[in-house]
Amino acid sequence: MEMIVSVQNICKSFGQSEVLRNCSMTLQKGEVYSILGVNGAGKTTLMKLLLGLQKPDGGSVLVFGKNIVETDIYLSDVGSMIEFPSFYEHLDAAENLEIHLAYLQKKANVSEIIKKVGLSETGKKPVSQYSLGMRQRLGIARAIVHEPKLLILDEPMNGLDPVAITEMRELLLRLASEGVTVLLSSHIISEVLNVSDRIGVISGGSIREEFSVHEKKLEYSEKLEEYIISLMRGQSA
Amino acid sequence: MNLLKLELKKTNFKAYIKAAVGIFVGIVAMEILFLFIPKIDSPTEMGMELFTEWNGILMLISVLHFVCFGILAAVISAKMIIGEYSGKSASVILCYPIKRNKILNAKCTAMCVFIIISAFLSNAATTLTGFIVSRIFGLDISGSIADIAVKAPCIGLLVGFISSAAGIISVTIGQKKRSEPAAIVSSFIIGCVLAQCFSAAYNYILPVMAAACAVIAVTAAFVYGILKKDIEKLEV
Repeated sequence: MEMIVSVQNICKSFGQSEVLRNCSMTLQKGEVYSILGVNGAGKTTLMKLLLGLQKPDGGSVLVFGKNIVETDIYLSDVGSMIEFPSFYEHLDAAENLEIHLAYLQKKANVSEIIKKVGLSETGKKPVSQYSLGMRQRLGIARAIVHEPKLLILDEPMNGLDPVAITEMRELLLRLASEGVTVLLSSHIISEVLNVSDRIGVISGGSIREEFSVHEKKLEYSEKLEEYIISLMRGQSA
Repeated sequence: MNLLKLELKKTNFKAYIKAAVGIFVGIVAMEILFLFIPKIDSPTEMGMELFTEWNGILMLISVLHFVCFGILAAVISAKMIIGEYSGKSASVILCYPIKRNKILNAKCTAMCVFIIISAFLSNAATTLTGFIVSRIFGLDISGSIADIAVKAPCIGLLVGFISSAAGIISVTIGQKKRSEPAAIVSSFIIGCVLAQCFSAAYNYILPVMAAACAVIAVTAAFVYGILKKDIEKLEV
């Protein structure tokens, strides 16, 4: 299987606080990998390191086989949504997406993507008038509009209603079946179990345990959520 | 891909155009007041030459333009630079496969072009309005009209350049502090200091402004290098 992301022993500190310590993980092509951890565990920091938004203090990060410290060309094949997305408030959805595509120097059918995420009724409404759920949908649209090979989503289900969460799940599974690699973090463990191939639990600054969801479901059945929570708390298995 | 066009599309310049028009209207109102001061007070009072000569009137409106457009330049660049490179929007703008300096250059160019054009037009229109008002009301303002007709557009351009350079310096200070208000306060302080220099030499306003423009342009170029390095190393 083709390795899309390889993170080896990365460390990252902010002042005296060591957020990531010898953290390692890999992502294979077409898999959905979820990172779980308590608030402040380092999930968002890890994602920001992959996107070049922060520089690691040590270790290496390879995306599509390239060291991201040396190049940023890989970003044209990466889609992301980190925390609550921000937009150009006076512009509508289509205009925001067109600007995004212009920066990526790519072309896409913007109306089709807007329809795909359920925003076709917004018309020319500026983003300043959008609800939280609509902004989240537009954030997803911006992440996928240019058909990326790697999708990095930080809490993509925030603010979505149950119908939208189901649609998001279906979208992620469809993208994975098309060969897109997805890295996501979420606090909704049940949804993570529904959509992920593998899960990595961050605790104490590193990936404490990685496992295949299918295999762990066979082992733990209904107690899998409890097991994951104990890992997040830093307790032994 | 034209990064400058993208900045013009992303930035809501309508609000800034309204601000520039508001500045123009405000300064025209001040200018009319200045023109009528000799009618209210005795024209031989000390200091009255400022209001009875075109050089004085031109100096006053130019200084007002410089201070106001300097602050407007700081507001625009604070919003375009500090605003976009902080908070959640930074994780969007910094995730493109484009050199960060290229995007920064486009932002500063958009701000400078807007300020230079609007300051020049406002200064020229204000001078013309003052001339028309003085003719309508028969106000006796001394000085060569031909001289002012040449000076006014030159000063208008210099005001635009100095204001945009002040904007660059202010936004660098604001970016270092990660604070949009810090940029605006800095531009106000720069404006006050330079305004004192210009008002002290109103008979030589053009050469003094040209010299100030050269100095502030060099300073802005140096400071811009600091801003570029800051953005290059920025982590969010």
